[in-house]
Amino acid sequence: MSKPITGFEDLEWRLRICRPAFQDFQRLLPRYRVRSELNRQLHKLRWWDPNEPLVIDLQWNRVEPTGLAELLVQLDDGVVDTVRVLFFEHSPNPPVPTLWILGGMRSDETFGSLQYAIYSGRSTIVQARAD
Amino acid sequence: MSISSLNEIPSDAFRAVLSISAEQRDFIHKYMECSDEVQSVVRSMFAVIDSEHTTDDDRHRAFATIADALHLNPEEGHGSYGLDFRKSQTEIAAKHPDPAWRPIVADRHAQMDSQESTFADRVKAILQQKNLTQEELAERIDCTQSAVSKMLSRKSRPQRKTILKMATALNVEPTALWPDLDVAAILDSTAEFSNDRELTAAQAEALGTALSQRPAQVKTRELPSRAGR
Repeated sequence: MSKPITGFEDLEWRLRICRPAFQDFQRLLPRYRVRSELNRQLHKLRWWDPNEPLVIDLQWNRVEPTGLAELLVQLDDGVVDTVRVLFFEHSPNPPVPTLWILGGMRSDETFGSLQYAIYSGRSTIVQARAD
Repeated sequence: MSISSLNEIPSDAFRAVLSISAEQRDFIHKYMECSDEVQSVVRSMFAVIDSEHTTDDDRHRAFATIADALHLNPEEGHGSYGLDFRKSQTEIAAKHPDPAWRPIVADRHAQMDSQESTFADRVKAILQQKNLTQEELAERIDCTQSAVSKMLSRKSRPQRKTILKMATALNVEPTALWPDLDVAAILDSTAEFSNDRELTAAQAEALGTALSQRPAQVKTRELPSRAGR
């Protein structure tokens, strides 16, 4: 992972997303109306501040000790109530602070070693290929 | 064991190599082009797929990760890897791979824009009417003034629960801030269902479970007959 950016006040992150994240969302939320709601909510990550407990009005947490973080988006879909979106900071070009959206799962799903293998694998690909 | 001549390679191994399909050859070729780290990710994804504890969802995620690892061509206009999230969202209405979806996506975006605009206008009007500042509202709903400001300048869309909190804080009905709060989701969902006419796997499972349950037993008793009948 690149060196964390410091000084977050008024910082606006560049948001990038890896392709498997879209596939996660498509499977998790097959209805476009709900998926579009999630996508709108994800824009809030532009104002993520690691020193604040909320991103605008969304709760987020660090997934210790993985180096990843989760954003909890409540959708009231009737089927999927809350989505856990995994993201992490990787700024290959430090003047452009960048957050990567790695994927998502239902918040009531277990985040164990298998899930960690999947999302840390995706972060490894980001680190190997992103510029 | 090191192999110094081709004669030492078991013939089964040769036959196996010669009998692989074009897709398998392509897979091996792409895998070999990956860096050591990415090759290691691919191998760990196969371990996830083979694990007896893996769910269908995890298997799907692992396959998606492998496909991503082996997809070496970057998306046009999005840099060397991944996609610019903002750009992907603004482009989707015009560049959706299925042209039939483009107007649906554009309509949905217009609908969300309109909802956010109405919300911002109404909250601003109520704040003015009640002589409240954004800071005071932020305090009442446990968020920052900057967050309220971003919602009122339509830079970010409030969550449903935030709308409910704001309504309580401003002592108004939630629908006074977001007119279609309760009905929109139901109507949209119904409209979408009539479009694609199929249940999601989770909905089908929930329906199946509900249908397989025995109906609740209700105690009944015969009513006394009316006199004269």
